[in-house]
Order: sequence, then C-alpha cells, then structure tokens
Amino acid sequence: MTNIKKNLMKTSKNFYIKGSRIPIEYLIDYISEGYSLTEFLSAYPWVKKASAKKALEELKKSYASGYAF
Amino acid sequence: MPSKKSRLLLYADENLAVQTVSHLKAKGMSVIHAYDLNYVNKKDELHFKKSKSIKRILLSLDKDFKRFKGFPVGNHPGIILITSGSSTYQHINKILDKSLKHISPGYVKHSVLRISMSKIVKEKSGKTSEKNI
Repeated sequence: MTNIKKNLMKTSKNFYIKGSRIPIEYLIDYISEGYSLTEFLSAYPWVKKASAKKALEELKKSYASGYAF
Repeated sequence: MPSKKSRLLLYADENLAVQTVSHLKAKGMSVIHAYDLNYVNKKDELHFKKSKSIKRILLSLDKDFKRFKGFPVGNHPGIILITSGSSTYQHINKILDKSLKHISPGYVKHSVLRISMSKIVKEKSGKTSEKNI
C-alpha cells in the first residue's frame, strides 16, 4: 500500500485522488463501465489529469500479480 | 417545472458530477454545485455547514453523511444521500429522476434521506422509515 499512499490521499476510511476529495472508487466505476478518462475528468473538472493517471498507475502497480512477459 | 411551493433547493457537494448538476438544472430544479462556488477540495463538515448557511438541502454521494451524530440535522434543511452501486453520472441521474419527485422540502427537512433506485429510507430524530418507489 506504500505506493498507493504516494499518489493518493488517505483519510480515515477512503483513498482520494491526490489534490481532490474524489474517492478512487469513482474513477474505477467510470473506467469499469466503459467511460474514458477524459469523460471522468469532464465529470470532475477540478481533478487534474496527471493525478488521475497517477492514481490508476499506482493501483495497477499495487495489485499487479508480478508475472513477467 | 416543479411548483415554487414544493421546489427543492439543493446544494450538490463535490461528489456530484457536473453532468448530474446540469441534468437537474435542465429539468428546472434549483441546484447550486460546490464547483459553481469554487468550493471544492473541502471536508464533509464544510459542505454540511455551507448547505446550512445557504438554506439548501445537501445532496451527496458521500456515505460519511450517514453518521447522524456527526452531522446533526435538527435545524438543517436536510440531507439527500444517494446510495448507489455506481457513481457514474448516468446511473446517478436515473436514481434522481426516479426519487426526487417523491421528495418535498418538508419531507427532507431535519432528516437524512438515503435514496436508491427502489426506495427512500428516511432517518429523523433516530427513527427510520422506508418508502418504496
């Protein structure tokens, strides 16, 4: 979880996209339902694109199974 | 457009998507978005206070507002909390389209309403009641 903490903000219960109060779950909802990152950012225009991308990257790193291609 | 007498005056916190606020406005609802006020990146408590100060019902997706003690609504216009499986604006818009027509300012006043696609759960003064929609 160390990597996640680097680019996400944590309160007592939730992880937020850094620099915002938007929970990371919202971004996951949009992506998993077929929305693009651009569409997500249009819903929350005060979230910085770089922060959202970093949040996704950190999630990927944290949950990757570690196998190599 | 809803009549002025029964019109809900809403304050949407920053959990609500811009598209949801636009959707409600297009339907004639009176909604002020935290983003309109440049009031984003704020703690829950501040949104609660802001809604109270402008005498508007707080509309949120934030589950923290379920904590009755943390957000005393005794002299607050009320909180409408959308409990949803998804936070995407299309899903949220559907829930609001279905549920808001069942809610009047008097019904939500001093209460926390949890709304979903199928029901409205009202908490007021420690008592809970449900209404299927």
